[in-house]
Amino acid sequence: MNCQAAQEAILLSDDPARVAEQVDSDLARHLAGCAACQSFAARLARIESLAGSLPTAGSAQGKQALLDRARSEPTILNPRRRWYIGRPLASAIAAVLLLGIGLSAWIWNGFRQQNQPEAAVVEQLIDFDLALADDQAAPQQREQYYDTQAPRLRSAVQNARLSDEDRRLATNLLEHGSFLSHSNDPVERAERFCDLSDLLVARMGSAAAAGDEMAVQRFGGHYGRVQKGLGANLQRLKALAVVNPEANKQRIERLERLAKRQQDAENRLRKLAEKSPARAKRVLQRMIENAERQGRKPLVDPNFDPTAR
Amino acid sequence: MKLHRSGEPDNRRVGGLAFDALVEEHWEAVYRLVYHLSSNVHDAQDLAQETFLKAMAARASFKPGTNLRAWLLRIASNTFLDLRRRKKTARATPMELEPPVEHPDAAAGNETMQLVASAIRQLDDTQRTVFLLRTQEDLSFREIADVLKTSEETARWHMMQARRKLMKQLDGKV
Repeated sequence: MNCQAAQEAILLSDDPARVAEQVDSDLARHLAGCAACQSFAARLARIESLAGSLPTAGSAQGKQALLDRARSEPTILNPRRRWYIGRPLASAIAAVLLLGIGLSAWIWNGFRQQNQPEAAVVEQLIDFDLALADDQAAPQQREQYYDTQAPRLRSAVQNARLSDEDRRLATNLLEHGSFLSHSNDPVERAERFCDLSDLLVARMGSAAAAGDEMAVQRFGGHYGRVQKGLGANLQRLKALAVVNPEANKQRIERLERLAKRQQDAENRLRKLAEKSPARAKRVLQRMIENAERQGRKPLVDPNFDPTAR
Repeated sequence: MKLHRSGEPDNRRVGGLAFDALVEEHWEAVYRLVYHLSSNVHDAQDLAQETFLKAMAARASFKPGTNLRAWLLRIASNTFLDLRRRKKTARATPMELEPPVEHPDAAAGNETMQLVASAIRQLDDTQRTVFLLRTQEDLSFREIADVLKTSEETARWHMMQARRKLMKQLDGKV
């Protein structure tokens, strides 16, 4: 383990003051012979100890004021009473407004589904994949989500009037979902996430070629969301790769391949923007600018040697 | 319309504690969190009071046997975020942070403490919340994940980012 990996591990530890106590770990072995990393852990432990004892002001007065208020106005502890008795008009207005908004949304949704059934199915599938690609969800949650949603979506794909191209896209999205629901390898999941991103670029290309600016905008929105999720996952993976020296080399190679694929997708978008109509062009250019902003940081630190121990 | 009858003690308990006892037992933890999140005595007092009133209003949603302090801290951090959003909407500018009022017992001119407090204020809301819950409340990453309704891995990730920023900010100072 080198110093960078050791310091990353210290930053990820439960308690920097106790990292040296894990006798059989690579980190403890490194710390035993490295004064710089010992000092790094000690400094972090001191900061956390100071943070733990930061003083506060105004606490006692605030507590007393609350207790006094609860004694003099017991109704504050029973807000439902105040709500129903004190504000019947506000409740009625809010109920009417909510009903109005709900009805409008229902009518609008029905109108959209009637006019764009294929778009509705594909959009639902993209949302489905995005939810399953979220690395922050626990594996069990992902599987449960897949089991509850997949049958309904499969049936929606079967019954929807889809073009051949949309049907292929929908089938691909369903397969992605199935994979994402049971895979726990974060790099492999990021690779599939990247596949989804490529699919959307291809779909935007078809829409731009057909002059369908609305579809370019719609898929552009999805592409932006996928890119944002992918960027966050890749940053997390980079950090985890640094603290897992066993798997580093292969993992970093795969992450670099992913970065290259993102660069290729960006180039395809640039070419697409050049030959698209004005509105679609603006959408595509915005996406390229966002992608460029997200891609400023190098995916992998060029000074990091994954083979060093 | 079914109303709650006032003065009925069983209806006013959270995790087996009546309101006064709940406040006595958990006020410090809640106040400490919202004080260091808002860096402002007046906001901290309002936020802590609102947290306990919300907890009473939502007492039916507390699951007996789970961590009451973590539940209250979740309400507190959400209440802080609500205030932050309201202030942003009202002013269309970031929430202004008042300089923290020094605790009367704190050693006058404790420069190191002030540097640490100032560096913590520079963290973003989530990183600051995770860092404070870990260092001040000694919650495990599992409990922090419950407070933030996220995964343990993500809580660790935010802690790592917070630590990295603090080490950088306080380089050569602490």
